[in-house]
Amino acid sequence: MNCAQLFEPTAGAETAVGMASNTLTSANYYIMQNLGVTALTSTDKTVFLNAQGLFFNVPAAANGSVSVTIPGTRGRQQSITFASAQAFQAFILLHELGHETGVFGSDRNNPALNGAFSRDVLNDCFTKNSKGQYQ
Amino acid sequence: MTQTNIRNVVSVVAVFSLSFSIAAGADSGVELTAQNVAASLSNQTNSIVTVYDIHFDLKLTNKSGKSIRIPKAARTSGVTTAFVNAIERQQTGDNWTFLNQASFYGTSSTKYADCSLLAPGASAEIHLSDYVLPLPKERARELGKEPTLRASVTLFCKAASGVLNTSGTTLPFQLRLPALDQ
Repeated sequence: MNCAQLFEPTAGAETAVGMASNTLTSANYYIMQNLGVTALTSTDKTVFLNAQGLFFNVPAAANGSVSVTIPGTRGRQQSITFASAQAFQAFILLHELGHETGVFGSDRNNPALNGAFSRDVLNDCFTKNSKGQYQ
Repeated sequence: MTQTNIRNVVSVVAVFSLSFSIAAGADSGVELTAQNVAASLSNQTNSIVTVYDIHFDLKLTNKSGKSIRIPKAARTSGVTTAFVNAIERQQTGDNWTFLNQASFYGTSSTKYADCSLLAPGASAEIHLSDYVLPLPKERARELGKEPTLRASVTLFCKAASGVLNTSGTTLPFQLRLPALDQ
């Protein structure tokens, strides 16, 4: 499955690209000065981003890579590394896109499921460089 | 980063992406009750978004027949103990709709509370920081004055095998909201 079809599973490959792209670009994005969380998806395709959160302030290594921890698929936090802060930002927006489109459904009671959604995004929308970093 | 830059990131994402137990789960055995519930209108409210600062603490009760690992610290200052993943609003009966959903992201510097055991039938409390609930104006109006809500919460604690997480949903609670500006 390609990345677009992850979010538009019933569409063909070409159609899915346009549909998912449209959802991404037509959503409302608000920057909040204090949100308490990194990103939050509300109803009506609205995404709130925390100006003080990791989306804008994720610490980068000297080579530009960033490491974060997210829920894993087995009920434990797992560490993953992105080649750049931009790749991490893309990951956040794509995860939220899954909630916007409803494809991911609710992971409210299930960190492992949240981790599975993240794994799908990483597998379908990113590649790994020679250092094992997602890009 | 400006709004324009976010749009750029979104566009990049679109192009980039489109070219190509503690056993977690719904039945963790922990009953979560929201306590000390209160809400105030945040000064982040503007003409487009209504923002509520919501406070509630958690009472954890072990409803299972075995001990459960929970975060040892009763307060969140300095360590991560709990994260509110979602707030839902009761429509009718067992019909709930999401007001929002969030995912937890940590870094190597994120500190977690150690685990402690909660015996069967025992209870513990965790004091949470205020929860920021932003809503588009029209959604905020639909909530009414005293909606029935429930919160989905992930609990974190540090064990020898790593940072464990488990989650659950609070029992429904009513939240009295402050009046909205017209």
